Amino acid sequence: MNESPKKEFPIFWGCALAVLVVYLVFKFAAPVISMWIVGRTRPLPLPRTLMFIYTALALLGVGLFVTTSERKMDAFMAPVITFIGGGQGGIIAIIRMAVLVAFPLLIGWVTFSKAAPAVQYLTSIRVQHPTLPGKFEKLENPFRNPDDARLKKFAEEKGLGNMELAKVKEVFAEQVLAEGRGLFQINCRPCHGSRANSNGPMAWGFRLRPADFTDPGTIPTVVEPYVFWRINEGAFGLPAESTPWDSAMPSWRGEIPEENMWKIILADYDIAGVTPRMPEKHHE
Amino acid sequence: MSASLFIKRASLLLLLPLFYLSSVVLAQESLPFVEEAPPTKKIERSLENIKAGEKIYQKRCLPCHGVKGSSDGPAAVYLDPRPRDFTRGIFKIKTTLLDAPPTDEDHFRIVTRGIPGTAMPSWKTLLSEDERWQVIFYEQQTFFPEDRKDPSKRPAPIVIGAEPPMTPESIKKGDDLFHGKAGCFVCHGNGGKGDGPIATTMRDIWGNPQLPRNFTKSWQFKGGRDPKDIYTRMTTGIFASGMPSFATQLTDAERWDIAHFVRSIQKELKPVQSDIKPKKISGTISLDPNDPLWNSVDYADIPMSGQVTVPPRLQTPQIDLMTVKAVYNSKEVAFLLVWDDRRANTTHAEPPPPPVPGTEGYTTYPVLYPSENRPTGYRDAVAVQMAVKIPDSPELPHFVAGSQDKPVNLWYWKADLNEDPSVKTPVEMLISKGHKKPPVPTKIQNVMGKGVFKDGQWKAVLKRPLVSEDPTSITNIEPGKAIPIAFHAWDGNNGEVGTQMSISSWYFMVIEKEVPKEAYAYTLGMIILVIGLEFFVIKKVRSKKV
Repeated sequence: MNESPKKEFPIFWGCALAVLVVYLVFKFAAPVISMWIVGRTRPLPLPRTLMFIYTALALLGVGLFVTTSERKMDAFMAPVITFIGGGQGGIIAIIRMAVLVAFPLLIGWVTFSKAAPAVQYLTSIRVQHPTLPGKFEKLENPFRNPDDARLKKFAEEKGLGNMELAKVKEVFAEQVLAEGRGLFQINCRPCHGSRANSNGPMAWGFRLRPADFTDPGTIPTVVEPYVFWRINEGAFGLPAESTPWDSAMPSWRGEIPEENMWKIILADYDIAGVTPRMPEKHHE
Repeated sequence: MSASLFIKRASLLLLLPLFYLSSVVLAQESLPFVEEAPPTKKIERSLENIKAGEKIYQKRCLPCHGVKGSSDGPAAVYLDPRPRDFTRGIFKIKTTLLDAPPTDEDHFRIVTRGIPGTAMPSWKTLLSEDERWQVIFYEQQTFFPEDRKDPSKRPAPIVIGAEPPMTPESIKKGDDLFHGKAGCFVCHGNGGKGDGPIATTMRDIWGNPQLPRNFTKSWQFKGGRDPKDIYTRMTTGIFASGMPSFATQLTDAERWDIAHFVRSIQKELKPVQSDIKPKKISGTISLDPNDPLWNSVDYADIPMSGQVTVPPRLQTPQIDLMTVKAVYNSKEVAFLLVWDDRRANTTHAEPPPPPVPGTEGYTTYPVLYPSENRPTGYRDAVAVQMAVKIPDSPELPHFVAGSQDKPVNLWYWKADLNEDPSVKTPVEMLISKGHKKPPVPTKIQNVMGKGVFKDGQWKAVLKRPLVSEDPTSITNIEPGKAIPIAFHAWDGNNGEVGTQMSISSWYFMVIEKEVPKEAYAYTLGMIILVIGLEFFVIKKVRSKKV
């Protein structure tokens, strides 16, 4: 809402326009902007409550602006009073009649929906990233930065005795990644999809979508032990605020050896083309 | 700060709450409809490009198609259909006749579109067009048989003319051909549900089960659902499967007519929007699934997936959709469940004990090859799952079988009991306290039911009194309460038994409460009050003006 220009634009219509623009921005522009910002092909869902809050804020702003001076208030109210008082002919008379009829009906409808029995829904907002249990916090992926001992052992097993350790490390990484990709495609693909974008064939029936690993809000925003925890405990390890009852994620503990879980984690990030969050360093 | 940066930051700020609230995104947009490949500029089949393709292949294709390109990847044995074996150079979805090698463009189209109902995803947004060409050239050059490598020696594709208009006459002609001269019904069934007389015994040339397409499921067409795609499949045939080429048997116009007919019987999905709301009826509820009372009841489509959460798992379910109708009267609530199944399996043999995780040879998903080892001999079944207690907090039982402290009921209809005149009801009421123990019958068995099978489709009615004395089952299906409800289904023919089943997420069932008379009185009173107020204001305004 700009300061009033030199030549007076009718305040009432200015205000109405401002509210309308705010509404339209959230109705049509926000979905496009959300795709642009997050870089996804689907817009982020816009909750209706949010829409309500923004529109209410716009109305509040209008109210504040109008009530800053007596003159503005009068100018704002003038067309309203003329309209209610009647005496204008043609189309305006018809609109006036329609408003006068519709208003009581609207109030009646609101009253009815309050008085009629409503269904009891007990829902809560889902917390997507519950806190990582302490016992997982300190874990590290043994395959991301293998120590020399592991590499030497690997070189021996593969008969790469003479190879430089740096070179062995590359071969090792490639080998581990290949295994991880295979394990991912066997165990995770049915839901998370061949491309790790949550488009697996089993995603079809699940209302709580499997995590889309290419989405910056999923595995890129957590540390590797977090993913390790999720693979270990699945739906059954989630706290209540993360709606475990809707999650189809298996608890793979006892079915997939831990070493393989770490390989799968490497592959998760690799297939999705993202990197894990690095754990924060604390001062000693 | 530049203007655009400012705008971007400001919009980010406004959108922040969205990031928080967007965590529950419903799976509405996952329908695997095939999209048309864009026109494309082909790159050169150079050594350099082939080399570049190798890297992509190793990362993206190898886990399924394998090091040797012969469907020898680690994931291959878990997939049905099995990933394509490139060393044979034989492909199905293409524009060349029968066993002729595909054109480069065919290959490109599959990599771009993916194949619905298989593990092959669309690579459209992940790989650039150049990268897709590179990986295709690599596959052909490395794995194809020698005589199929040279593109100049491959046969030309069929010529697809302009599609004639899809008129009612064309559809009618197609209908007649489908059920007559062309003989489509022999495999695809009278209603096109893939349930023809020889449907379930069919094998591909490598001996694996090969099911004819269910044409009513628009989302299952592997090569696309449009008339042009269907026409192409009919013309070229689908080599290795049972689908012959009709290029010489039927005229061009006839093939288009059948394509139009097939397009016309495809069903559009109607996913349930929010709740399952049983319709109130005044009379008694018949157990007959074909009772006309159901005709006026609205339906909801519930998408189903394989149960993959707990072992033993199933990632190749046959039933991917349950169509649900519900009614109630003053005493009872009833469901009509409708689902497609190529064969009725009405006998049952108990399965062997499931393999134990961690033991020798244990696999997380069933190994599907050799296909003769796949289990069969189980019954068809369906179950309605409900929470035993209507939750008084947002916490629900787990949607797979509940838990010890939050048990669920299963209204378990079994096709073998359905055929057995000696049992009182084919529906067992069970209570399940988690997936580790099998469900057990509740004290009172009060669910009645009946199923009928026709033309590749089961219809079953399940009904129960609204109120029950039995504390091990939901005691009061109470109006105005959101009752968690989910669905399970088993196709015996597909070896589905126990936790190897199709499953849905939780939905809510709501029987609407009757509106009390006071509500109408309040509403009327309010309207009168507001009208009075309006008159008062108008009078006031007018007097001021004067």
